[in-house]
Amino acid sequence: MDSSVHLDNVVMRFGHFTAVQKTDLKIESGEFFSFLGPSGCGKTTILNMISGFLDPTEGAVHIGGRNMREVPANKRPTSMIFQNLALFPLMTVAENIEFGLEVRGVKKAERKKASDRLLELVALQGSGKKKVSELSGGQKQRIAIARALAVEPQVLLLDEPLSALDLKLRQHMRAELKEIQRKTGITFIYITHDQGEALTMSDRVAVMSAGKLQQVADPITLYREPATAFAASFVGENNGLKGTIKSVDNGLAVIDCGALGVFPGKAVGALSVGEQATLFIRPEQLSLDQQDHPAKIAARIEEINFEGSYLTLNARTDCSRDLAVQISSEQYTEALVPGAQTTLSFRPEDAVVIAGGDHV
Amino acid sequence: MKSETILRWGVRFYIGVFFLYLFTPLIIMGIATFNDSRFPTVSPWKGATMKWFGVLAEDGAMWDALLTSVIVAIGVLLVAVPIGVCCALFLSTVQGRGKSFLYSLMMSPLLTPGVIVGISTLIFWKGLSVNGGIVLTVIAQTTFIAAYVMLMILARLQRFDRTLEQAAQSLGATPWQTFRRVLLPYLKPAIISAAVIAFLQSFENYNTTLFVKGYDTTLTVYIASKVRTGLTPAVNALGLVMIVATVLLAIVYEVKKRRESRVVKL
Repeated sequence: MDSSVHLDNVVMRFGHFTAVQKTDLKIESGEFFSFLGPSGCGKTTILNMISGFLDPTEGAVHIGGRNMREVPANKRPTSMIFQNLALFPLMTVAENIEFGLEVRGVKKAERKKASDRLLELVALQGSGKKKVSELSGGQKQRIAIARALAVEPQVLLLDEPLSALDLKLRQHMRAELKEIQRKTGITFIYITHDQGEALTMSDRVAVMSAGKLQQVADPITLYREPATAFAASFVGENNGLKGTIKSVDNGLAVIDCGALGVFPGKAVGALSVGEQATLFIRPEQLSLDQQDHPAKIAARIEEINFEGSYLTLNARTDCSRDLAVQISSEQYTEALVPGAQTTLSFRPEDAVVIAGGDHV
Repeated sequence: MKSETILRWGVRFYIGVFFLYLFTPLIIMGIATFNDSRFPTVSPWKGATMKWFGVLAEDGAMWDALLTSVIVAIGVLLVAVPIGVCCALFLSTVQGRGKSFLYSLMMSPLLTPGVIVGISTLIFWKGLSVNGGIVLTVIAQTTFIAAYVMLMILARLQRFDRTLEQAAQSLGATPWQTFRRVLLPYLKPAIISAAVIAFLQSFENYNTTLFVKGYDTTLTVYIASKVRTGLTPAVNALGLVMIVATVLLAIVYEVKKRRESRVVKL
């Protein structure tokens, strides 16, 4: 069954405010797709357009090849898991799960069978008769998932459903969601501001900022080859060094970062000489005292944090610029103490130079 | 510490005085029922008697008035509750000028003296050749009792989580199914309370009813008319019967509610 979602040049405006700028995006059948961005970036608006709670000002949403304009929320092949879960407090767990079937006129015996099967899927067998208020946070979470799956949607929409859980449970639920998605083969569209969630679970991630899609890519590409300055700074830890482009040659840009120095890096997109740009270098790509790397920055170690398998360092350059550095525990030596002078270096192919980056 | 103690005793004292103020008249009225006197009073005490219950039982006109009151109150309940609920639902969904207009329209009878509501209802319907009676009493009382109902439902609606409606829709429920299965069960306690309040408001109403009752005298109007011809402790007997009935109902309700909440906690 085709359960792809196509946002066909959709625009959403509220009065003079444009919540979602022109977006054209195709989400494949059976994909785990995430929208990642800070709050207010328009990701929930996109979800509401897919679910039918909002109609796009321009363009159309297609689900399974069908234009969804004029199709109300209750007739769409989608179901949604809400941020606050929105379980019906006056119904039992089983009644909650069976609600979608009940309103479709499914017989009691069949509904019971379905809810038993779903309770098993979310590992809560035998809790059908419980009240919603008797469940723990994680259990409520799973009931919300079971309820949304009961109507056998083609597309499951998830609006930051894990944000209310504590860290441990959140990590556990990530794995569980991924597992359920694999078992059911349903298209999952997941909204989050938590990059960890987006990167670990998704097949593809769309990074959004100010109503605009910044980049759509699989997690590894997103991390290694950010397409915009926003994507580079929002996804993962990154050191952003602002400067002016000195030269662009054969995919390699040279950027003048003033007092910090002049550095080479991979050019992203079209860059022109004299343009304002930012060089991004990940903390784990910075090495200590590797003399064979061409790009070097002298710095003093300010802080060392031992995190188990790795260490994070805070290094300050001569012109008082703080840089985050991450090294594996094996690289640790006794000489690494706060106040020690070191030379940070990186390979040009590990750094990217992206136009703009004022907000970094 | 000391000022806290004073405060605590002050509050206790206040509550004591408050309840004394509230219940003393009722107690005196109750005792007067058993006084073998022609007037509803406790002094002078002329000896204990149960005869006023007998007199009450034989007062046909009063039983008719009581029946009229109950019919009117049920009528008001049946008309005012749906109107109030609909208005509250409408007000909670619309925005803008229509909203404040409807709100003012609903609230104005509540802020108008009851006498004026009664007189204007009579004049208006007289023009349409409808005379005073049970029907007109129901209409007149509904104009302001519907506003009470609306306020009570609005208060509950304000705490309603609107995403529950979205959740129901997202699961395929039509707007009607969403209303019946999600919103209505949520509003049920408020609707029941509003119905009780509507009934009581209607039952005890005097000033509006006086003008629109026609020949159908309600209990309050009947008792008031008897003040002129001379009250007997039979009225006290009626009062006592009503108080006892109310208290019994309240106890039954409270016990039932506690039992339910205990089930929920388990």
